[in-house]
Amino acid sequence: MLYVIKITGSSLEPAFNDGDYVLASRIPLWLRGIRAGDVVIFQHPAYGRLIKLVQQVDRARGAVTVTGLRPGSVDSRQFGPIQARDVSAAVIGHIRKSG
Amino acid sequence: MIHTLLERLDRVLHFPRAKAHCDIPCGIYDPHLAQLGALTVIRMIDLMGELKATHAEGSPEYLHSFTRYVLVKEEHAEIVKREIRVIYGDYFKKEMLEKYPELPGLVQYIYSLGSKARQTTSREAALDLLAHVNRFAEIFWETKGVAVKRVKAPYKPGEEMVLPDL
Repeated sequence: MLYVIKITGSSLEPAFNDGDYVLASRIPLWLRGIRAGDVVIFQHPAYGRLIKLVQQVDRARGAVTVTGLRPGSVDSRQFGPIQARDVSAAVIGHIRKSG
Repeated sequence: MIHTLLERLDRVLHFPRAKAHCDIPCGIYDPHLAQLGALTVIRMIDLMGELKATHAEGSPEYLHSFTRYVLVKEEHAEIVKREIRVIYGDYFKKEMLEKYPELPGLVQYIYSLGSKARQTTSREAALDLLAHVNRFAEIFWETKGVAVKRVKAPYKPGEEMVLPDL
């Protein structure tokens, strides 16, 4: 239940840069659920597989508000909260692009 | 080293991608516009000088052309400042600033030279602006691992530019 995923795009810069790899897993989601501050991988119907920072979790509704770190980020400000069930993994490791 | 290893594995295993999606075309930065702006400032100052040789000072034609040169100089000095601000603010990361500690001071100096280019008709100051924008370009391309060359601009004022050696 461990995935290696490559990041494309720069909405999470400077924390995560284009070309970085992350290790992501479902296990934290099973053990403790999604928390604000997690960086998660999820499937969006229009944008495909995205990586964003969790800003807020509404457990009663199963809604998760996600954000990027840059003003141009496409996130819950545009498409609203996502469904918790669409979150496939949380980031547990980060391998930065060197240089 | 781990990243290099993952890159190699990625070529074979094709790891999934996750988009940190932006709604603007990210990652397209080039100091070229700033360099063109600085060259234009120099050119306008040269044209102001040449104008005296061809037109009577104070004549309608003189005033008209002189005003146009001032306006273009103003505009391009601002282009220099804007382009440098965008690249410095959006492209350069903390690690790069640590590697190039001269950068914050260099950018600040370019801002002040950009203002001086608007306030005066000093060719010397305009050349100084170009020289520092060229240094900025040199650092920029170095962070991208792109070699640079110094060439004379193939148009007036024919001053030196730092360009990527592709």
